[in-house]
Amino acid sequence: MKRSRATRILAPVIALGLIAAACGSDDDAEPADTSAVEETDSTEAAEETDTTEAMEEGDDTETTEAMDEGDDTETTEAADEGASGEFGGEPDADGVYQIAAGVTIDPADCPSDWSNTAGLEESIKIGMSLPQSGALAAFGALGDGLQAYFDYVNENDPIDGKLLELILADDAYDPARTQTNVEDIIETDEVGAFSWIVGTANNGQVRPLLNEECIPQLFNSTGLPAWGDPANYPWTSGGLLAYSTEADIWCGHIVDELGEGATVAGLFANNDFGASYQSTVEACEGIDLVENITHETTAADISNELTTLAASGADAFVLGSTGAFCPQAMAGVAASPWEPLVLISNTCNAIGSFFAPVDPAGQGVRLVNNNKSIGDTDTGDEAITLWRQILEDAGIDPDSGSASTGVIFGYTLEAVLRNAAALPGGLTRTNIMSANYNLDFQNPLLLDGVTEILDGVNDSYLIEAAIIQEYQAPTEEGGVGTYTDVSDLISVEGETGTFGG
Amino acid sequence: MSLLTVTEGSPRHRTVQVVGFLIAAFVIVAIPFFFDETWEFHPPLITGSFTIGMNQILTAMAWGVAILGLNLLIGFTGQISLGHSFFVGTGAYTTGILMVDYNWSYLSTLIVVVPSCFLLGMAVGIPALRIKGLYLALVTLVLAVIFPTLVRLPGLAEWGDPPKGTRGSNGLNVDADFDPPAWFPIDGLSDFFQGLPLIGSIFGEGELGRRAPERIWTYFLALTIMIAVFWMGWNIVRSRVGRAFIAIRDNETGAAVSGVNVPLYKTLAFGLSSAFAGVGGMMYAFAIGALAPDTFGLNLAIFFVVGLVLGGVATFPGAIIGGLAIVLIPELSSQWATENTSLFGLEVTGDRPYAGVLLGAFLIAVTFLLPGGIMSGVYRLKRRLITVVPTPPKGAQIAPPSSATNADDDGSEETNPPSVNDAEPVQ
Amino acid sequence: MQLFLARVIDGLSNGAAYAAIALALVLIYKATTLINFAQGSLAMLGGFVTYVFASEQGVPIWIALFISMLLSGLLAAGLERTLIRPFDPSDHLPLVIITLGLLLGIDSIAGVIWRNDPRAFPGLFPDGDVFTWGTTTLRWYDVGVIVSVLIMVALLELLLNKTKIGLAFRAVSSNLESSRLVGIKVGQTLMFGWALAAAVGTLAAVLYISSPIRQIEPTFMLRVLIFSTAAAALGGLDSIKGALIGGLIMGLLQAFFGYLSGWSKEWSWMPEIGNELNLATAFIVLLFVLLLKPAGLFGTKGIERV
Repeated sequence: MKRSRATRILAPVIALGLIAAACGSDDDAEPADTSAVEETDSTEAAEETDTTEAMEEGDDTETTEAMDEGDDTETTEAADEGASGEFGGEPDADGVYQIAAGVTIDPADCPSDWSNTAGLEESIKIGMSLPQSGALAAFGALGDGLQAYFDYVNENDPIDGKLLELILADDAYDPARTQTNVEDIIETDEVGAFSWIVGTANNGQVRPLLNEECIPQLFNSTGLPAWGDPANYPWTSGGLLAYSTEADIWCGHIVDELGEGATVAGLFANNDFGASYQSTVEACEGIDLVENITHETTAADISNELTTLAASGADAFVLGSTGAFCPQAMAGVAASPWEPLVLISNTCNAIGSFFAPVDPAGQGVRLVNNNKSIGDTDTGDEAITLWRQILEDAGIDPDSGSASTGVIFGYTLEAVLRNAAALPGGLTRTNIMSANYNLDFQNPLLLDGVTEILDGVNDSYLIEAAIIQEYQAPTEEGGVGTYTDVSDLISVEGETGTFGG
Repeated sequence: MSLLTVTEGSPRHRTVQVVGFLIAAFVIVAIPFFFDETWEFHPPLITGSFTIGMNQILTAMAWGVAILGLNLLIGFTGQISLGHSFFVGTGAYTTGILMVDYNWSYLSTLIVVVPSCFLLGMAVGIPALRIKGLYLALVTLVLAVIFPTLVRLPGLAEWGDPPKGTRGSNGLNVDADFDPPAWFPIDGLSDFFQGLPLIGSIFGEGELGRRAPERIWTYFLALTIMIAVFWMGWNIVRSRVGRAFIAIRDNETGAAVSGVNVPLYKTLAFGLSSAFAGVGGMMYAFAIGALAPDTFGLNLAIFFVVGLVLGGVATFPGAIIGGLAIVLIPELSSQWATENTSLFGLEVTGDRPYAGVLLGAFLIAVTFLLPGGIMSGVYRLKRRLITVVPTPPKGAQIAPPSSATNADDDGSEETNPPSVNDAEPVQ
Repeated sequence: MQLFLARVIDGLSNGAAYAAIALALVLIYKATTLINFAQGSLAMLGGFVTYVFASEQGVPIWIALFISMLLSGLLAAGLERTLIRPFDPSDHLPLVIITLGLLLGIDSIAGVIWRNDPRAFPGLFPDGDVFTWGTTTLRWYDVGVIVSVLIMVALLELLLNKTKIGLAFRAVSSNLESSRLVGIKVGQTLMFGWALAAAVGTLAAVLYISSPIRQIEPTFMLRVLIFSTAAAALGGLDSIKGALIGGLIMGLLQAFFGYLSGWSKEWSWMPEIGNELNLATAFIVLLFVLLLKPAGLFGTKGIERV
């Protein structure tokens, strides 16, 4: 014992001594990225939960001819912006790029071997890390949808004469793997930009890296307000409606429908996604939160929690969770005598994944939505027809779930890329960020009036409008459910400014 | 009959040992210069290309250390623990929090990680005394399952102002600068490897990439820690403590009757294995830098056991092989699946699905065919090449060499391979 | 009071499901003193096979269940014969490894074949409630599950105590060598034990997942497995009765955890115990039981002869 104890102590001491002698001052760890801190502070932090839908903004909408029209207007808009010469294009006299209002990029901050056109010269390479396996594997279809849209664009009207190339990597929603995926993609594939990476923690993990490497991190698929911070992170932007805004809309709606003092029971996932909903609902004035429960995210069974909630008999039930918990909650409420007004997270809006398995339990369930529904085939909206066509051509069932949302993402990304290509200097990384933070685009798959407008630090959020919709279960066997509008468009476009300083 | 027979201690034996050591040292030093960029390779027969990078190597090293700890517990003391990821995760998060929130340097975190994981392991070991065999496996299994939940506890995720803690579901980003110090001849070594005849070209050309020096230095730091840990483990196993462990494993009652303080050593086994696990976690934290609660759950705990068995229970190099196996098999099968998205007409997206099947299949295959793990296969091979014969006492007859096994230079003594080796068909 | 009753119903209903899986674990343990870590995975597979027959092939649910129980029994017997038999039953490590390998493999395969989307599972029992009192309901499903498990326990006790094969089973589980000497076909009996356990597991999985609240997806048995192993250990790993009681207790504990969570929010001296910790209850219960009564409530104490 004595000998082994001695050697136990000796070995590390020697090792420590050797290394300490060698190291000097290299050991200082940088403080954790403050963005991570901000994320946990910010009550707005939403997005987590292991549901696949978490990233979707809504169902895909129609886009056929509307897109072509949109293209023309985009390019003319872009040309206008480029012509004004105010943002984008060449760097100014100090070599600094003026990206957007209050946003600049100084290439001196970038690595010595950085190239503004890497990954954009022969083809347009876009990287994406998302959960293709594990509990949130349903979100993997987002990548399929995006790829389907890329194929469509490449065939019909390539951007800047170059083909779009999508490089996907599975991270099973594990931020550690997102990090390694992004590192590996940067090394091996030399992408021009990353887009629509899924998950709050996942994006948070790679934001410092991508900003250091000066590679665009576009449209994070999470509703965390911290992404709208171009002054500090000019290479990052967010892509979804903030969860806090969503929960605020819930509050407003409950008060409108049920009056002041309405009782509310809430079930929230035990992570930042659920926490953002939870804290906003807790802070909501005008309602009486009588039951407030968090549940674990790892194993899908909330029967006990549902019992407690049902027993409260509250007037309304809000669900700040996602994934398998959505159908369970809906089925649970339907199977009990409790009849509250039910509001669930927008992340569960893919009918195919979350409502269909429990039809007709979802009848009457409401949620905040901002995109068109791909199942609305009888409205004659050409955008929806094209939407379905794009997916079918890629061999994907349009009603199956997240793939349709991938197409919505594609439109927005395309708008940015086309705008960037029209700026002086053409398709470069800085121009992409410029196009991003000066975007003014009506995505044909989003509801009318839901605009994608960004203006540097004056308006750093992509989507700030939504509508409340109610699910209608299919009336016949094998049919597909639809949404009906139960509110007007609620828009805070341009009002949410930018994040922090 | 082997190719070469040497007598222990003879000059020839020494030569063989020295040569072996030099080769091993060369390979070990060459590795980071080979992997300084991700290595893309195309194996014959299998379609598609695969890449392996430093990230995988470093993770394998960290997991190798963790598996060594598990080996002490399962391989040498015979206690079944399915909760090893709990201790690895504790070490990783402790390091992460200390580095990120309190600005400690990564080495000084050892001062906290090792004793705290050791004590934690002892704490688990004490109730474990009353629980035997499979019940113990159950309890430790639950440990692994609840670790992610514990990481997410609001009290642990965030405390104080400015907020410190595990960051719960957000994950903890451990960002540390590891620029090599001036005295480390990194460019010199790079040039050396590139200049080697015949094989120089595999080390790439020209200057090191921008991120390479940091990665290479990280590798050497991790390597130093790994060597230190392995050395300690080796010493533990050869000491009284180690012998007590083995005695308990082989016959607990017999050991007790022979005067071994069974409760003490069992608890100690838990403590030591957790301390090693903590160091493994610490290596993971500073080398990979991205911590998330679900990384250290049941899946990883099962993988550790898998790695242990695949590598070889109660062997030392087996721990490294195990670490490599549990990193590379899922990773490479992933990459294969990305290119081959359908299998027997089923569409397969993502990559992890194959990981479980392959690991499970390998596990079962190994248990049947090579119960001592891959290392036992390696030893068998080695015996074909070279046999070391003990020095006969003066004047004695030299008996014809039989299949003698002996310590070789990387020091992996097959100390009584456990009963996995002796599996006999039962009717 | 309504809430109390609702919780009791909830607890018994879930508890019955845990008890059913615990029964499968106990059966294997009795026969081989081995804990089959792959039990949950096998049961999950059984559930999916039932789903395939019932939902995709249109077979009536009870028949689909029956077929799937047979199939899983056959599969398990095959596994026992090929993977388990070759090993010395007293040496635990290789057998644990094998079952872990099966767990990994089966979970993977299920994930590949069926992906992760939740799907509706046909109900075994009529929809609707037996009675409703305010916000509390007793569904036909709850009654069905509890009654089914009770019947299962009774049948198993009957099988083990009153039939020839049950006798053989008990003999083999108490002393393998002697049974062989006496002429009992040990191999067949072991295969039978595994097959029975698998069939019970499949039944349990289907009972659990056919709830109107739940949808089937490949990870559904994971949580059940944790609680069931705790239940089996609580009741005593070699006691059928113990599995039943243990399962019901675990179910009730889990349901009543909500009270604890609620009180912790009201009483400021208590740290807030979030609902997400109810998984930890499994752990705490297990630990307590094993510390105080290592053989579980109804298990037989092991005696070591020196």
